[in-house]
Amino acid sequence: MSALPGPVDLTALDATAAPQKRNRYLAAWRSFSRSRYGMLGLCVLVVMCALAILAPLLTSYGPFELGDKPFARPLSPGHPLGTDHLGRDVWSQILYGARISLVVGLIAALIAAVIGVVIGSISGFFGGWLDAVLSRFTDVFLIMPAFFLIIIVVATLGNSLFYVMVVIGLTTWPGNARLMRAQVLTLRERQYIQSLTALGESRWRILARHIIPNGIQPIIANSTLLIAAAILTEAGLAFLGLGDPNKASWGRMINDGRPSILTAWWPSVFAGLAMIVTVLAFYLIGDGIAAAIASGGERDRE
Amino acid sequence: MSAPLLRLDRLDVDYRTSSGNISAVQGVSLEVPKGTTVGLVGESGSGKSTIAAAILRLLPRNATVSPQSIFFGGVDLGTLSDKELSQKWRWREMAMVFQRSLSALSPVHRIGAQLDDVLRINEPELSKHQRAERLEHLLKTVQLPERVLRSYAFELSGGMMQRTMIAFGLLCSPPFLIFDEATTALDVITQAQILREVNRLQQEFDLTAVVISHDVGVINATSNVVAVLYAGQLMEVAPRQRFFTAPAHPYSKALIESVPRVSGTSGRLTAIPGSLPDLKHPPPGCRFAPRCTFAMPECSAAIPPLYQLEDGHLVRCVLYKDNPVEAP
Amino acid sequence: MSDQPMLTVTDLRCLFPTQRTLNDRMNGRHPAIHAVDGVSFTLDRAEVLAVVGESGCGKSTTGRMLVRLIEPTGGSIDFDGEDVTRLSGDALKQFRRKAQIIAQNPFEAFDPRQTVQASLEQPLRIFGIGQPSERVGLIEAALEKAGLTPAADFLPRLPHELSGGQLQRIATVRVTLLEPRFIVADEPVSMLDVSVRADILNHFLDLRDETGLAILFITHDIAVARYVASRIAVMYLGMFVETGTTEDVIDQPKHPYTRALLSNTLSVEGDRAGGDPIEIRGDPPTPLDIQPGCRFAGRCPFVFDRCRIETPLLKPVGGTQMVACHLYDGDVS
Repeated sequence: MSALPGPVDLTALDATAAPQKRNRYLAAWRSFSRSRYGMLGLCVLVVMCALAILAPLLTSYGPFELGDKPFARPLSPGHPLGTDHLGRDVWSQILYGARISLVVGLIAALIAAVIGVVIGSISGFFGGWLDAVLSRFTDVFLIMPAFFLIIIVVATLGNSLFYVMVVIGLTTWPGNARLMRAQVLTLRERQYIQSLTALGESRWRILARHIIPNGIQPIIANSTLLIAAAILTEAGLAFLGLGDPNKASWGRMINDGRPSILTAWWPSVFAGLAMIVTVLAFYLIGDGIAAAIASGGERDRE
Repeated sequence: MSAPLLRLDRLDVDYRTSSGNISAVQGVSLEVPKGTTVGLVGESGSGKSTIAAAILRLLPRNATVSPQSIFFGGVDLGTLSDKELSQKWRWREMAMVFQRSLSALSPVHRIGAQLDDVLRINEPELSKHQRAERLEHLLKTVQLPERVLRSYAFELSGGMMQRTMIAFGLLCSPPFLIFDEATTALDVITQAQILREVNRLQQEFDLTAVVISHDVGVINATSNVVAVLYAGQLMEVAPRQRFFTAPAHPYSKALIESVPRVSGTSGRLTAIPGSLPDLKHPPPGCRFAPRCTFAMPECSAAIPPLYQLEDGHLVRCVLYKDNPVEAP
Repeated sequence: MSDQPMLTVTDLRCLFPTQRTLNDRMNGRHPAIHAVDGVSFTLDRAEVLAVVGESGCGKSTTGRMLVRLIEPTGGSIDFDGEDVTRLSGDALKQFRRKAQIIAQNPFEAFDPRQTVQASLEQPLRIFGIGQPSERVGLIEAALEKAGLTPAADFLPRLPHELSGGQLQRIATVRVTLLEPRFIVADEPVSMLDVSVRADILNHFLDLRDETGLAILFITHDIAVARYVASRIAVMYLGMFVETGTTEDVIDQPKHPYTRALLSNTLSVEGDRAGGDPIEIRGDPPTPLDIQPGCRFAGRCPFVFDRCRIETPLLKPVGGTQMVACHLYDGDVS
């Protein structure tokens, strides 16, 4: 049971409270920061981003720069993580690979979020036949074997990074759409939405200004997981040789290192580690956001 | 009058929160003699449910209760371990009937199984057959059909649900029950039914009870003694009849006067101006002073003591300071 | 005053179809929840009609149909000589300016992300009232008038920072900024603390007196109805069972249900027994499976055979009262 049951109890205590909690973003941040794992994930992510952005400053080699010392061991002079079979610096490849992984993850998840939110919210808000059509459309995408679709698209349209991101985005939105639809179904029955209808507010404005912003948090939590999944998908494609040949990628590093993994383990292993750490970071952040959402309802009541 | 079954002695309850301490209950002293029903009336934020939760030790973890302030049958409940309290006291010696709510019961277990569980844990000496007999008898007591045992919570109507909650309270035949807003969500007729039921049970089992409500009507219908809480402070204690005919505290008066009536003349109702103080920074002295029409500088200087007006009628208000007798 | 009442509601109905079972399909039945089943009344300017009934009786559905939040499945709503049930598009929007609703839960009345100012500017923007630069002034004036002073302190607040009473006042301000002629007040005080209820009720009465606002006041509490309304309609399972002026209904209740409501309302007098309450057994039935006959028959202490066969209709029983009860059939005084 809550501290003070009853219809309104503790909310009334805030009546004259100093308006310190005005900023909802600050409040959201506060709930998030209470999650230890979420904060750990965020710290790791910040470090990753810094490494990716500052890559040119942190290494003197380009990721494709062929060296004269193939298979240099880690901690060799000038090559902290060693070099691969072509003498390329593994550390530089990890740094530049981070750029690719993060960009692919973020953009693919963004595409999935936008499509998912638009389709899910329209479906839930307008209901009726539109909902039936959009829901079936979502189901079709949900059962589609996404990875094979991506392979087919990349194999036919060419393996540029752009296609990879777009195709990942276009195949992973159905989860978001379902989440958003469920959110809208609850929110549209809420009294303040009904009040706005009675006030004559247009349906599109209600949806865009009042329903989506109030129902978006689960999509944000889910997006962190989609980012992680997209990073893995891109790596998987690169591993299969379907990645963008002009970009440094962790997946391709693993693939390149595969034939010689028994003698020179480091290119594959370090790329794999970088990927695990990044994916884990996003999962932890997702956890933190989910926890913040769960405690969000209690925050006002404390 | 016999010795009090429950005695609160300067009870304080604070909640620690990220933005400061909330003083939810402050210095509440109250006696509940055996066989009486004390009605605890207060609005939101008055601390009435916090007091109930403190007695049964059901407060959330961020709450602190002052030591040596809750005595039950002469025992300081604060000295009992959680285990002792839950094994020997809760359900057996004292139980609580909550506001009707689906969340109080498991949605996936039949009512009978849930009642049986509580009974089995608290009275392990009973055989399966004895437990079944007890449940059967219990249902008759609260006038529920036997099919309720085989029902799920969502299949019950509001009235049946509330009777079920009362059945839970009576399960281990405790001598003391707390009804926390037990009829708040019910319609008028069902509420009256349940309250008649509560009165009958009180007499039948010689129960001692605390009835908590925001509704003075509910208190009037069930209690012998009325205790008024405002913002965590006990403002007035009076026998029921006296309370409703001659309330003393300005808050009590205003509370009774703000209720519309179905009989008698109906003048314009007056609301109490202002709103509840912020309990993170409660006003010094009398917490009602900022909203009180009779407030004077003295009210905010110190917390007024409880003045005794006549036997059993106590009021915490400086308007009565000339009264010769000061309560202990 | 013209001879036409401002609002005339005739035989208003709302059926919510429910899932048909196989058995229903085989028997050609279309089961439905009869939320509102043929409600008729009129309402005039500066008049308050209270609809009293327990939860689930259809009183909220009735109110929400009147402001077109729920589509009626039958009957008509005549507002200023225009059938509201047929309005759409711009005509509907113009109707919304004239007919508004205040809902029960003030804590749920506002978008939790919007400040008071943003919430109050909304109706002004929707209907293009005032220049954008004047709107803050209009809002402040309205807040001050509603006793929320100083208004500037309230504008930047978010809903969760305010008390229930304050929020319900602001909800009223939001609605009255449109200067409606009719509002539905759906249990506007039931979520509020007892001590601030009177304040909101008085505010409604002041609005009625100052602006000629007509109010349909929905409540479960017949004492509240007595305080605010000039006429009362008692509703049970989708139908009005008794109507009349407040004095008549309170002083000489006719329908057994009205009598039960009155006698079971808790007293706040020192002398608590005001005559024996009419004890009603059983629980309120659901409007799902409506049997023929009177809907109160299953719980009525005065039930006789005819009640279970024939549905009683509202008939005048003298004075201002109309009652739907077979007990009064021979009694046309």
